[in-house]
Amino acid sequence: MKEDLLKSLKSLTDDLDGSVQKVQTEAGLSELKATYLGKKGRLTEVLKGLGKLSSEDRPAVGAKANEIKNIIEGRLRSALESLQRQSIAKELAQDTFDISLPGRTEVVGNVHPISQIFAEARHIFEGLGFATCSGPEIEDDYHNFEALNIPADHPARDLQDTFYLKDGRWLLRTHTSTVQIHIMENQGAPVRMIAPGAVYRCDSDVTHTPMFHQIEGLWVDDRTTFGDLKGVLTLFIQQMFGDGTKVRFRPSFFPFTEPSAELDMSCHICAWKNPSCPVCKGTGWLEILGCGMVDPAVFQCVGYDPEKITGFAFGMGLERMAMIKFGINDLRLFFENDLRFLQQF
Amino acid sequence: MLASFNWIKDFVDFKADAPELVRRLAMAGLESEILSQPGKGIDDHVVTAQILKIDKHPNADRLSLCEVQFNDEVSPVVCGANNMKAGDKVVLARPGAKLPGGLVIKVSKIRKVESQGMLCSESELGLADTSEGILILPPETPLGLPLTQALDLGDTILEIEVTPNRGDCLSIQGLSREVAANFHLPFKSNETPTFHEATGKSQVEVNVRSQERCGRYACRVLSGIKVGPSPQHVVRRLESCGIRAINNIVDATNYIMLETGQPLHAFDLKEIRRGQINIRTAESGEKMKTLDGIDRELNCEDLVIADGERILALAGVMGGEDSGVSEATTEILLESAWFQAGSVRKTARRLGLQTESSYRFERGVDPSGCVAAINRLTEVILEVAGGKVLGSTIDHYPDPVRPIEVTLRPSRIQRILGIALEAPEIMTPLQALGISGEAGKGGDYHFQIPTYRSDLNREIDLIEEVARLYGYDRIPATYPSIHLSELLQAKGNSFDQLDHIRTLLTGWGFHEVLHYSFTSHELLKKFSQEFSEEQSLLNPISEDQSVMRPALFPQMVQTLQSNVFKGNKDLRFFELRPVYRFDREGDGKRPFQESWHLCLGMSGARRSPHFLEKESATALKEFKGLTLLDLKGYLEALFHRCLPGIKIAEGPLNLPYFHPNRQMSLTLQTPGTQGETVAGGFMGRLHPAVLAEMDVPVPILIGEIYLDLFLTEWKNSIQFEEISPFPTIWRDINLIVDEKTPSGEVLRVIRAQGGLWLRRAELFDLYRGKPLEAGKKALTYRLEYGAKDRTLTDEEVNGSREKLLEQLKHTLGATLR
Repeated sequence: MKEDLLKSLKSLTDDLDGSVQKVQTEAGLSELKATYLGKKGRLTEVLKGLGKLSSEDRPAVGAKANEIKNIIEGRLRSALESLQRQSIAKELAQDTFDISLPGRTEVVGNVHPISQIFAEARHIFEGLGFATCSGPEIEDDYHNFEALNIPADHPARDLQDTFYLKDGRWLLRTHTSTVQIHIMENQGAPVRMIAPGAVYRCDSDVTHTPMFHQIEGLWVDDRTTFGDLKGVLTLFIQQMFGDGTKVRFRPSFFPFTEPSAELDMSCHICAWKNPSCPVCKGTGWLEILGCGMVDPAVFQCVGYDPEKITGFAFGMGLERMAMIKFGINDLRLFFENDLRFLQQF
Repeated sequence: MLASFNWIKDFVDFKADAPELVRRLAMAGLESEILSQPGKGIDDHVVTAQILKIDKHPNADRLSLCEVQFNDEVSPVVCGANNMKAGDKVVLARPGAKLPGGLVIKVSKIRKVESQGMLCSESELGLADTSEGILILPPETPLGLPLTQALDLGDTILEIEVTPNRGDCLSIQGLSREVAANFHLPFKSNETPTFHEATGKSQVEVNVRSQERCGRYACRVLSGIKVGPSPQHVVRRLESCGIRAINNIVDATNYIMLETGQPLHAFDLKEIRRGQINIRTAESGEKMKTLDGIDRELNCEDLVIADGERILALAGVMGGEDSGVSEATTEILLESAWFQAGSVRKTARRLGLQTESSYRFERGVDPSGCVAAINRLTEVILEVAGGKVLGSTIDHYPDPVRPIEVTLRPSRIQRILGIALEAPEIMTPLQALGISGEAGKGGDYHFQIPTYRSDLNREIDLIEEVARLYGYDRIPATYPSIHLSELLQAKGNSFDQLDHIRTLLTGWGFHEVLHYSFTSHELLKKFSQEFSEEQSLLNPISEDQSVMRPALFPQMVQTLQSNVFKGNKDLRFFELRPVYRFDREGDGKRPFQESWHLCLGMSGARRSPHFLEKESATALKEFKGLTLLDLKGYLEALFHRCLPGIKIAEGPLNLPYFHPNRQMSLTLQTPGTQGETVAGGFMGRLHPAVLAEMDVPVPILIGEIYLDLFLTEWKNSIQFEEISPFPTIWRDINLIVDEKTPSGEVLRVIRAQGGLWLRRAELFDLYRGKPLEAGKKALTYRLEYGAKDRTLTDEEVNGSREKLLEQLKHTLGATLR
């Protein structure tokens, strides 16, 4: 008896496997569930024989019957889940989508390329220990010229044609070097500062705009050397334009520095490969900034002792750097504010 | 300055080619580039020749058949030009010659007649861009010479940028001295000129009335000279250095000026009245006609050369037309003088007259060189124009300039350059420049500075010279260690704030624009901007750029307009710059204020609609066009982000260039005060009449914000508020109020009277029309209630809402809808 019952129970699961595979709908599965587990289902039928068993055999067979019931329920449930998955999959398969359609977004604007170059330069210099300062654009002759060792009627004034305000006493600064004086007038060494801003020269043609932008830099301490100037500015150029950028320092003249130098960087457009390169004119070098050791006369003007204090100063044009960095070929574009220009940065 | 490569080679025997010279000069501080290479590409088969005979070509009317001789050979050459005659010296390209344009000359038959070469024009030789007919050479040209040799071609012209401190390099000799020092080669000076000095009474009497401004005046008379054209090689050199050839006398003064750097002048002796040369200042209003034919009115600052009656020349600037050398001149007075730089500069600047002479005087001419230059000039003139010296030479030089001595400490070199240099590294290069020196006691050096180096006065000047000649590239780059500086590093700066504003605005779709700081009076008047005349420029480039702007928005309007005209749509721009105001002067304060403003300008839509939104395009049309509320929203969000906790309030405004009902001012509560306020800015939509006048077919919105508070109160007011774990409850209130009641006023009452638990209130809907009566509007506000310590009950919230409704009814007459 006991063996017969156990055999019948086992046959239930064997039969179920065959039936489940044939069923393709959720309704079919409910029907199957009724056939096996319903009140008049096959399991109930088998369990009717339970009463005829001896009391010793009953618990074992009962437990087996429970186990078989769980198995059947489990198999039916997973069959149902599988059917549901198939049905979702079928539905999704029909919901096709063109992934090449344009995405939807908010419009984002751009920071002006001049501001971008300044921000980049500022982060590099602040990382090197410089503080960012500013000074007035409307200046007096003293800060723009005299204190920078450019006396009246000095030919160096020819290099910087100056705009004057109505009464002739005030002028628009021709360079950001004025900020050097303001800062040193107000504090002692050490000084490490950069100062960005608009500067003005009476000049307007294809390669000159009457207003443009510079960053001035000043590093003053009791032990600063020309070697330090070379080190710091080389670091800056390589961070700004890439590690591989080569630099050279070439003697030059500025009234407020001595020795003075121009810094040339290697032309990243042609890299010495194009003798008719329009950017570097085939020389392989691009003039990028002017620099030098602060002239003792400047230190004397601000009350520093040139025997005790040395330092270097530098100045660079932001428009020029932006033109080199972004490959812009016309200076005037910076001030025309055409959306088609601004959108590119 | 333009300089001839071959001319420099006359003084230094270097081997480098022109590109190498350019590189070496650059590294010595003389930036230069190759300007032109006349005669480049002309080979030795191009020779000088003479036309013996010209016949008509038998088979062509327009061609000639010439018999051309060079050396002993005579060749038949067919020629298409007609500017030549038998006997002319011409340029023959022989068979085998290759011309600069690439043309190769062969023996050929032209209309059945053999032609053994070609007669060349200047353009065919690459000597000129265009030319008419063939090049005719001077009659004295020898035959059979390669053309490059006959015309001294094959030269390279360099354009050298001489920095203002290096007046000594404004001459071939000065440049050569640099080149010699650079290549470690000797500098070959000219041999001492030889000519017969005369004795006897001077032909003129020199009176220097301004010793300070005319430190030296040397002059000499030559008689029996014959004015005519200069030799070809002189003309070539002058012209390639940018100076027009005039006649042998003027050309000689220019040639020797280029060679020595000493400006020279020749007067026609006949024109010097009463035998006087007076160096004096002009009388105010005194007139003269300069060599360029222009009448000049002078003032008492101008130094002039005058005779007993009138002005002959502007000292150091330009000669006078009357006293210049002409074809008829036979006696000349040569002048070689030293005028003070500042004096020459003042006159040249005031008259807008920069000449080769003034340029050199301004940058410093060596007073010691005056006599050497006049001697060299005399030698050259006697050679090219004949004549002899008449009377003794005058050299008025009462107070000769002496070489100064400068001490150079090796320790100072190390201090400035960061490297220690040995004695030869210091002495040798300086000596090559003519700066002699010796080591003194204690190891310091004492240098004698030659008078032509007036830029070297101080120790630091010599250190630069040493560094320059040692080579900047040989000084190793070092990384300095840092002394922290409490003052600058500790302080934050406003650049972070400005960048933060940029980040926010670009995130909202605004592009940053940049305008000139000066604009036109007209534009400012159009937008009723008040400004002081003190803000105008004295010397503007144009009216468009003539006054320092007191506000940003007028140019923003122009930029929006120009973008609309270019077909650019959906514009959102901002500008972040200082504006300028003139203030009264006093207490040593600067009279000009520069303060930062932010300007926003918008036109069109937020963006062009995505295709997903096309379906509801009509609904979107109203929604997406930017309105004054968009602008207000951006500005409120900006204030909220940058100045959290600072209250802003809008107020009425009445600006004529804005739509009368679409404008407002913004007021900020001053932090740390009880209700004190400060102006924050204004915004509005441009008046349709203003738009029409500007031909702009789309609305324009403008806002301008004063940033002072942004830059001082930056995020000082942030205080964290703990987040409540208890849920909040939302309630709507739907009110009917008079049309005249501003919605902001309703919101103000709600916030003030909403009770302790009211956390947030915002306008949710605005409705006008039926079934409301005319003159009424319905406002729906959504209110959020919550407590920090517990969940509120419905009863509590409802009670609070009832109380609020009472208050609204009481203060604003609002009824529940």
